[in-house]
Amino acid sequence: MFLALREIRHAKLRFALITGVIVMVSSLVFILSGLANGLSAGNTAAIDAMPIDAMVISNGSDYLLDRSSIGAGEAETVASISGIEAVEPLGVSSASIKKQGETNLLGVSFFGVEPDGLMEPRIQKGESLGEQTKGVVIDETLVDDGVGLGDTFTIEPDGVELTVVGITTGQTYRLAPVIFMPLALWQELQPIRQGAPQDAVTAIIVRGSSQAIEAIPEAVPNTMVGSLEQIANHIPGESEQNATLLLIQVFLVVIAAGIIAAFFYIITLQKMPELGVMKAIGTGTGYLARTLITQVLALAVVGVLVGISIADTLALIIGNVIPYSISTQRMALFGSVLLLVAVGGTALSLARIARVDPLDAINKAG
Amino acid sequence: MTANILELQGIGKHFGDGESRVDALQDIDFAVGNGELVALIGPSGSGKSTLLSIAGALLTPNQGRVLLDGAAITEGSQAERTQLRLAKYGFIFQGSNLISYLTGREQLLFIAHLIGLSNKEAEQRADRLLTDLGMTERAGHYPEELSGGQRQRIAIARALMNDPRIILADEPTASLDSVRGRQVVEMLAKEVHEREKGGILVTHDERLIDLCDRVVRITDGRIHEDEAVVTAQAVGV
Repeated sequence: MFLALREIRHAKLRFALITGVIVMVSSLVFILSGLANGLSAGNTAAIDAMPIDAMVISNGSDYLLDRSSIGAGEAETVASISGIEAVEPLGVSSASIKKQGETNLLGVSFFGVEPDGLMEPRIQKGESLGEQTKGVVIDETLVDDGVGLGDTFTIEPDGVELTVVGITTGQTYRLAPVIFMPLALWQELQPIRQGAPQDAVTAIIVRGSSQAIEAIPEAVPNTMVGSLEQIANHIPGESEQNATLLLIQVFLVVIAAGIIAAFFYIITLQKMPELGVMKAIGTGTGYLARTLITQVLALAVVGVLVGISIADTLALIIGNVIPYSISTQRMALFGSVLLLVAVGGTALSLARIARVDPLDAINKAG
Repeated sequence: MTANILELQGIGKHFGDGESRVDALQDIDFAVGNGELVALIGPSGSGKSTLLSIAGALLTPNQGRVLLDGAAITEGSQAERTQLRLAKYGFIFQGSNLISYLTGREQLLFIAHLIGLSNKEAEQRADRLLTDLGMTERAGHYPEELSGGQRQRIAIARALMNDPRIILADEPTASLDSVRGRQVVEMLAKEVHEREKGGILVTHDERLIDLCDRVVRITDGRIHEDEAVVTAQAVGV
């Protein structure tokens, strides 16, 4: 618009400063969002990827898999409920491993699964579990740590040796890469617990109608049912992490709104005499308001776009070291929120503009 | 004799209430005819700025009414009066009061933009005014780069850009030397006379009276003199 851009042109530095603030805030918001996403994915990716409707876990486990222990034989009882389509036992545990010839320990998650079953991971390289007894499929993030196709590693402290036969992707649990192994092997590796059934597993995974699933705790004693969402949210640290990072992002947006509002309010105050003259010569309040909003939008759009580029560049640089992932959808959402907030921040200034008295333009000397 | 462009009838204006009430104007009858430049003279506090503000639809009176080309202007809303000022009035203030971030030429094009002139018309009219006022060369500069006299000339061009019915000038020569100041008022008078507009010139400077058609003197909120200007030339004829 006529006035909006010309004013910016005439005072480039100050408008560049406020745009700089918007750039910084928006990059921070996007980066934090990417980090939050990445961390969350690191925690829950393997759970989110499970092609099932729910998990049957022991009562009292409070959705925490590492507190759940259930007999594999219960799978039959569950399968007998009408409306249940598929049932499988699943073992989940954590461990440390050491690559042959190396000294450093790597933290991993074990998934003991039924070979050729629902939980068979999609193979990127190599072979699936199939008939293997000592072969495992690992998530590709473990490859970055030096364990590749064909490598052998030992589980610490037991010293059991396993060989990598296949590589999959997108399987991380509790910020550790997942290693898929046959359920029998998993059960062998578990320490013996007092009073636990011989065929103990962590959970029974099911596919079926929601009514059927709801009926499971009645049919099988001492059990409860958790959806994938519930299990994922209860991973230790997950909800706290998400809440903290979200809180920071919200604060950032609020701070940005405050700074933008203050900046334009001060500029408006400085322009009061000029605004009075403009009203005196016939410029309407609506016109002046639209001019201000145009300016804010122009600067905010530029600021957000630059912020997106910075966040994208950072993603390329640190993506391998720190968990980081951002979707275009999220960026579009945050970008829009920032734009809205920027425009909202002009409310004070708009009120001031509306109150400007054109009489102030005529010096009241007499 | 054509009808008056501007008429103030029975205007009264006070500020404040009760004990702190100040009567700025009382019983004012004042008119500006076609092609007439009226000088409005009075000491500080006489009410001349208030009178100018009311005449310029910037202030509503407590009593009386204001007619512009026969139509009452005092009943409108704030927004309506703003539009009226845009369409019918040209203002020249003491300090030129140009927009700091527009060049001389853009000050004029802004008015054209507000009143909806086409780009071509806007450029033509701006060029003509700049030429008439001798500002063509300096028109690409910002106000901060122009001298006081140059700024005031741009202000005059701006006041004429919307082809107003009446021009209100509040001490336009205050920040200028006497030569420049006289030039400015000469230009104003020329525009008023040649194009049959109306003009009110608030001034302290008695030496400018001969350029005007009428003198109105105001003291303590009342007009006590309203006479045609008798110039040496007129007498000689």
